[in-house]
Amino acid sequence: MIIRLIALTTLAYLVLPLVVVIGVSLTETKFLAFPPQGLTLSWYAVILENPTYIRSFLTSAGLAALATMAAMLVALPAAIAMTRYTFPGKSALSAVLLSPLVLPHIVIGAALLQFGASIGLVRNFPALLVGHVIIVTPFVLRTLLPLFSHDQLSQEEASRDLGASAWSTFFLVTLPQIKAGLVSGGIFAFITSFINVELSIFNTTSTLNTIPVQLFNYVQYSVDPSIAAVSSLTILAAAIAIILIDWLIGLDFLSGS
Amino acid sequence: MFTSRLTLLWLLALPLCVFTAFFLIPLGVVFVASLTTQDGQFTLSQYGRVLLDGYHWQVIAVTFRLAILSTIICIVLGYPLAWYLVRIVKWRSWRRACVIMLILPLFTSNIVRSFGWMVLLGRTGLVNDALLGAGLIERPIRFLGTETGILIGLVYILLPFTVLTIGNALARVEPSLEHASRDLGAGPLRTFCSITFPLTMHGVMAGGIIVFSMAISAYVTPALLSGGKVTVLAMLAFQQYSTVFDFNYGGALSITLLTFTMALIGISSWMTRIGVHEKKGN
Amino acid sequence: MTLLAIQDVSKSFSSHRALDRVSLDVMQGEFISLLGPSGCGKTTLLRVIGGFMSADGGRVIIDGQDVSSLPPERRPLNTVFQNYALFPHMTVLENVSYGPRRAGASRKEAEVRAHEALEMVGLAAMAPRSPRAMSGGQQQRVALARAIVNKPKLLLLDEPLSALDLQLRKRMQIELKQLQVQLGITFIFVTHDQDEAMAMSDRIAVMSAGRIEQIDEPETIYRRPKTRFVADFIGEANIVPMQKDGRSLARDAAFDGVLRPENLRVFTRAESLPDGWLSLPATVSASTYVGGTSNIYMVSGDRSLHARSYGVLPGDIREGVEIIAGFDPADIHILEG
Repeated sequence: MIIRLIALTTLAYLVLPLVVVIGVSLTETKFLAFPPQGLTLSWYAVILENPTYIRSFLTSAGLAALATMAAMLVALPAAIAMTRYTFPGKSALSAVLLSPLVLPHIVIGAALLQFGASIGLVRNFPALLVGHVIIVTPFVLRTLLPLFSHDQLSQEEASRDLGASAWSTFFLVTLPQIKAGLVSGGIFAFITSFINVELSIFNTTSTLNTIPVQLFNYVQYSVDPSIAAVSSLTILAAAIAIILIDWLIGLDFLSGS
Repeated sequence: MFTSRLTLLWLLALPLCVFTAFFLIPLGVVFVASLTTQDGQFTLSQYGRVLLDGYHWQVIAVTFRLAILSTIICIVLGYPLAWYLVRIVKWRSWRRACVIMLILPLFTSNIVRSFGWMVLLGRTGLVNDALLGAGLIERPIRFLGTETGILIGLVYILLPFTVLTIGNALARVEPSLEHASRDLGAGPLRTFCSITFPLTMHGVMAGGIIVFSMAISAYVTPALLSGGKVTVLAMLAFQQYSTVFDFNYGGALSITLLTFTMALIGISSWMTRIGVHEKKGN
Repeated sequence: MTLLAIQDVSKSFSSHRALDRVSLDVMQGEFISLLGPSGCGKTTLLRVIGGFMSADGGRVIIDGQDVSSLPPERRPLNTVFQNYALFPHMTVLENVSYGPRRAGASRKEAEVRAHEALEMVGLAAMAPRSPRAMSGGQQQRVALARAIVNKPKLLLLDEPLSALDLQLRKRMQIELKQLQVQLGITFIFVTHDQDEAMAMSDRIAVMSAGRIEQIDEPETIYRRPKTRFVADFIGEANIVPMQKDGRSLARDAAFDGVLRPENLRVFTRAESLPDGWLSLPATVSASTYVGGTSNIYMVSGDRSLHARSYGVLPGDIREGVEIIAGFDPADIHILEG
């Protein structure tokens, strides 16, 4: 009973701030009010008319999409190599490729800024992209690694035996079986890139900005319900992504045996 | 059917190039910078500046205090929630909904989540209103700009990680082991302490490591909820790069932060391994 | 006519020699078993023939063409894999039409041929099902249909029956043999089960430590094993010390004589021994009666003997009893060397 109470309170604690943000975005007042006073969608209209927000949103979406695709191109061969081969330095390679998951992003960002400054890779879209590829690749790699099984190896042999080339085998036999994992890892990667501040903040400018960095700068100086409206839209995007993943791979992994 | 060494080389080419060029070399550059002066002479003075100054130790102390407290609170709150989701919830759809509620914050920007807390924790925010209304306090408590405020925000952001790792470990515990313990005369509490908890220890450790490493390097949440009144290591490092442009000193701060993170990950995984060995020894 | 010629094929894994200069000729339409304990190199040899592994040296020639450097998809053969290796994301029909599709058949044509192959293994009704929802025996048949649909000259089978239960295995042995005769395809069948090899093969290649110890018809392998290993591995063997001529027993074991248990008889008195038979004094250590067959285990000096006969044992042959083990020297086979 006590456990139930603690658990439900904790769940409420997890949801509360998101509910507050959505609530605030609907208020009619010009200041942040929760519970909202009156209901209006006018703050959404305000941000949709603001070209800076639109531009940042497009930058973020484009950045996340490109970073995710690049991460797949990097992670897929790495995963195949790590599951199908034994080679010296394999565990070191795996440690390096997965380390951005736990290393401070602010340090990675600083390092890229300092290094990028020497080769002109700074405060432009490619600079942003490179950093995001580094931090999202481990997400794709981590979902891919357990998907390459021993059974698949003999299925690939069977496919070759039946007359398919190595490439057709990859597309006809291997890829269909890892597709769901690749897509869900991709969604994780997309979201991770889409909500990143610590890395992007080093390379954004007033004209090249991502949504979270713009929110971050904005929130530090002034706040009004339009911020809440932008935030609500990102919550909505996250909810859609989660439902997609749930639909693809199922999220009931906490079910007991 | 990828069997030749040549194929292996092709497979590894892109990952190796990308991570060497944009991850290992940049980190190397920072490391070298942290050991040199502005004109390229070798020096340890940057680290001296970081480690011999009382102010820095105060910042490091605050950073550690926040990280340790967040880790403990996340485990203490996360375990019951994980238990509830794995063992108590019977209805599949509700568990699914709970997992979605758990993951939704993870998929939402730190900004948005911290922003929610800025609204909640303000002088006239919901939390103070509720506490005042319940008669628990007489004047509003100041949360924003205090370590308590930052702690609430950090725990909020990191809690899902511990729930997920502990829940995963819990779902894998064989129920027959617990039944055997009960059968041999142990009560529910005894069974939990000597069977279930030790079996989920690796999940607790894994969750703890993630929370600690993210808490110690957190930037956005402390920056937003501190209101400039509390400083953590990540904020200090960022200042050097964004406003002061002292890459050598900033490098030393970054490497310090990196070292603390890696050392703690190392110690925790070492402790987990020791724990496993002891169990095998018994 | 020789369909497959394996010439001097060797293969090593780090320090382990998996294949040691193996040579083998297989005739058109033949059913050959590669028989041996695990680790003898039989699966490695099959993988080299199939093209899943390249040999360190030697050549593989199929129908006059050297295929040693060809990838699996370019070799005129197909394989039934040990764990079936069915594609889990495709239906049975899609699995079986995979081969014809790769060979350039239209979807419709491929499906017609797949149906014919499924018909042959008795699974036509299962075409739209997923292989994941099928029993082991059914999956086995799908794997077989998938491998024969392209009418290969040569079919490689890697312990295809090992995952099935005994009864099903016996039935599949008969069906496989019938199918082989009907299709006229050459089969190379890897197994560690000697009964299976005996029941199905035209010839058996017994392998050990990366070499072929003997290749012969099943009966020859059984009656006239060339080496001690073959004698021990195929059936059960009593090893009796013989003179080189095979007529009389030797004291200082000059040659090993192989005597099968069914050729060894037990006598309570020396007088009952038929003329010309040889005998060894022995003590009964155990006896069993299983399925109409009696087994007597004896000790003679430092050697143990095993005799098998039909029917129930006389009551006076019990544990500890001194008896005489006798045999006709015509039934003994002297090992070379």
